Amino acid sequence: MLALEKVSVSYGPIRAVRDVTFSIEEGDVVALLGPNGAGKTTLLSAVMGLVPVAAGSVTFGNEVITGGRVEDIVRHGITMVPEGRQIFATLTVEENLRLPILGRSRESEQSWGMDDVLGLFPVLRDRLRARAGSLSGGQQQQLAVARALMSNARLLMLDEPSLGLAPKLVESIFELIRELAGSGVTLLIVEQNATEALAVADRAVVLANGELKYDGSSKGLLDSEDLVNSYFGAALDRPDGTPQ
Amino acid sequence: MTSRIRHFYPSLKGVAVLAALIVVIAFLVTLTGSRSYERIATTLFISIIVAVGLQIFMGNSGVMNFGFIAFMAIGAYAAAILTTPAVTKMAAIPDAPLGLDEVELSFWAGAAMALLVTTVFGIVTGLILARAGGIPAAIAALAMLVIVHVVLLNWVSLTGGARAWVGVPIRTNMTYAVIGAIAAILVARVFRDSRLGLRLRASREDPIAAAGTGVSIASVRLVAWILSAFIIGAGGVLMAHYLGSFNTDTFYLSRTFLILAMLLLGGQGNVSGPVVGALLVTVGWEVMRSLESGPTVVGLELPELFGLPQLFLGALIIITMKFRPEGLLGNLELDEHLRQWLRRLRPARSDQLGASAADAGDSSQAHV
Amino acid sequence: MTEIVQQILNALSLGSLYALLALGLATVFSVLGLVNFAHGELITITGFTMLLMSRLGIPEAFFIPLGIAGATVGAVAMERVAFRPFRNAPPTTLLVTSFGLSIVIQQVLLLLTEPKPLPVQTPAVLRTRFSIGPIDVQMLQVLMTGVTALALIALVMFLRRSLSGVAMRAAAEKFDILRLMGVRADRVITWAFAVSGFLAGIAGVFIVARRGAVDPFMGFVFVLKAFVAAVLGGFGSLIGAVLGGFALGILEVSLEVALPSSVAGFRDAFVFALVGLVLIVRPQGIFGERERVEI
Repeated sequence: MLALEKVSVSYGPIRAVRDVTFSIEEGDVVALLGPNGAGKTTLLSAVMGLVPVAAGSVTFGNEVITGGRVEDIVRHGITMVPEGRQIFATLTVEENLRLPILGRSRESEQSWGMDDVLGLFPVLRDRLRARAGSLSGGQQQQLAVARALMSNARLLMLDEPSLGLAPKLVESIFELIRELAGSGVTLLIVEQNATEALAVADRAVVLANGELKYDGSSKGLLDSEDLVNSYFGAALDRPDGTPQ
Repeated sequence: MTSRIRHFYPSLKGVAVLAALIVVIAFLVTLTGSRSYERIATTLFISIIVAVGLQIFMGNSGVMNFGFIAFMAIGAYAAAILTTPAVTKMAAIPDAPLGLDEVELSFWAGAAMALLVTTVFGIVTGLILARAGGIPAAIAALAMLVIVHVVLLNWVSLTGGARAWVGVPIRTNMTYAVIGAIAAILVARVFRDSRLGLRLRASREDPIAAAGTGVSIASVRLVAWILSAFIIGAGGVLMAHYLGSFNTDTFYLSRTFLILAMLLLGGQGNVSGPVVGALLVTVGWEVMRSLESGPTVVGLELPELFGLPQLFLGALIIITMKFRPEGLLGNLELDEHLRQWLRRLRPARSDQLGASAADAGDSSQAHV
Repeated sequence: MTEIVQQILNALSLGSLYALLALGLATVFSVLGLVNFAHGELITITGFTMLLMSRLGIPEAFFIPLGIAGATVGAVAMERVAFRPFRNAPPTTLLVTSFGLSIVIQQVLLLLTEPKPLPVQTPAVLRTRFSIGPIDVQMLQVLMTGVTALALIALVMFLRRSLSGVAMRAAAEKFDILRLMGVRADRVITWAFAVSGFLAGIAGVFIVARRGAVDPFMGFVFVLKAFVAAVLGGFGSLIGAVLGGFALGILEVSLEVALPSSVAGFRDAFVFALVGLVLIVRPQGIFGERERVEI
């Protein structure tokens, strides 16, 4: 579905992402992990067209999307929920949700309508008229994801969905991610919280210093002590709770 | 003390390069013996004074000041009011306040007083305006210009209002203008490379970081503002004594566009920019002016095109912003550019490069 | 009593004018971060469109809608031709570019016409007067206030009800995020300029009706006052622009009344000075929020 081929991204003289190659198939749930500053957000931004790709190519389906405009890439069926919620605080919840309708291309199948999305996020249904800025952190995060779904994305990329949320909310966000994965949405999740991410994802990609260090199954990552120690410092718990 | 001066050697060399350029132009003009060329050159040099004066504030601080011509207006009117023969004044402004219609100072005394007045104005406005940044500052500065314009226009007892002011003794010749221009360049370059100048330029690049180092940006900006007012005022004084007669519109919007275009075309980051910009704009303007009246070129009679020079200016501003927003010279002074070209012409002497880089004083001056 | 009512009408109508212009400026600024110096030229374009229509022999009744259309088209053209190539430039570059653009438009119009004001006939209805009891009322002033109120209501409805309007509000808040939702940035920006042109067109019609003539430089003083009004109200805030416009109108009329005739010519100086002081004390304007640290 999504294929990155030797992608490099620069910020001026600094290579933030170097020669990264990997791909995602339909239905995958992939965790993109790595230490701070590894280039994970940069990579997502480059796929979305928010920052220019210095070298390499990005393909989605059969189309090369490298160098395309953000709006056009979104219309192809990829969207991103950026770090830090980023909802429109001065607009109402309903207005936030309706905006992607403006961005839908004519031919897209309506897989996610208002009712479907509100079904998944009942909290939002009660607060449709409220100013989005007045929602709590967790609710805003839900709104951000809900809004992304309204774009009818086939591939949804989440950048640090649990950042800044209390532990209880973190749990519910990952519950939500599981539900999304269950309903067939292809997901790419960038996370600091490696434990939770690996519990949800079947594949893991590790980025460090802009380079790809690992691309394989989550289980494979957890099993490899070297990798875990190099990039994750503290030991990770396995999904079933047993420590490494 | 001597080490301080040594710190400025590269700056002085730079000033010398620009001074040489100006002197060469003046020399060539004198050779042609043409009065009209001499007039154009004198105006060019005065424009350089004003453009360089503007660079001192706007170029180093990065804050837009579109009202700078107010300083020129005040310098010009003050000098004119003080030095015009009492006979003329008593007819033109008999009710002048402070009995100014009877005052008649010499050129130098009048110039000194006018500069004092302008500097005071600069201090007062600077205290109010120099603190602000960004868009409020740009608009407030423009408002300052409008206020000065309105006051000059309406204070009929002092300025004669909308009537042209006549009778200023003609004292400015090309030599004075050359000296004035070189002096302005010296002040601007020394300021730019001084500690104050560096601090100011640092604040332009990253205001938040600079504020964090304990540097009071407001005070440094104030110094630049006052210095700028002084130099631009001096340009006004010289202009008044060159034109002999003028009115409030002489120092208003059209001149603002003109000087601004010079600064933007050449580059506001350094002192050479306005100099080169002034030269190019003046040449372009004169060419456009000759085309405006519909001359016959190669047997073709061209139509009258009023407003061509101004149109040229506007288009020039847009094109410069699109293709080279930092100006032709960018962030380097003319002498720094020359040094780079010279270095590129000697690729074989790689070991010399290390030595010449140190000698060029690059390490002692942070290029912000 | 009549005097007071008259002055209130003066203040309201002048304030409406400034409010319309300031709002146009604020609309573009809030979406694009661009301070459009050439906004004043939209007034000039309105006037010259009306002049052109009269020269072409088109009936007077169509002057007003065509004038407004001219301004709207002019604004959209401005964006397409002069500002889109600069989409990623820093705000100061854009400011300077718009400055250059305004000079170019002025000079082109000068080239095509003459430096002296050219008379333009506006529909007679705009110049009527009528009486309510002892008070002598100008139709133009009533219309200015009324039409502005309608325009503001229409704008509010557009911004709240239509999805394009919602998109504009979203763009004003976080432009890139809107693009992430697939909404075409270009279209939103075009809408913003169209709105600003429309508002400038309405103001332009009133200005031409009052002056009875057009000249290539008529826009400058108005754009400067519009800026001042917008900044006074809090630059970027649409409500602030409207309130700033009315505040400026009231201020100007009050000074006109209060100043003795000997210093009447200094009115504009006082207005700018007062506003300048307000800005120094409160750089974010009366209704603005202190967003960034303005160092």
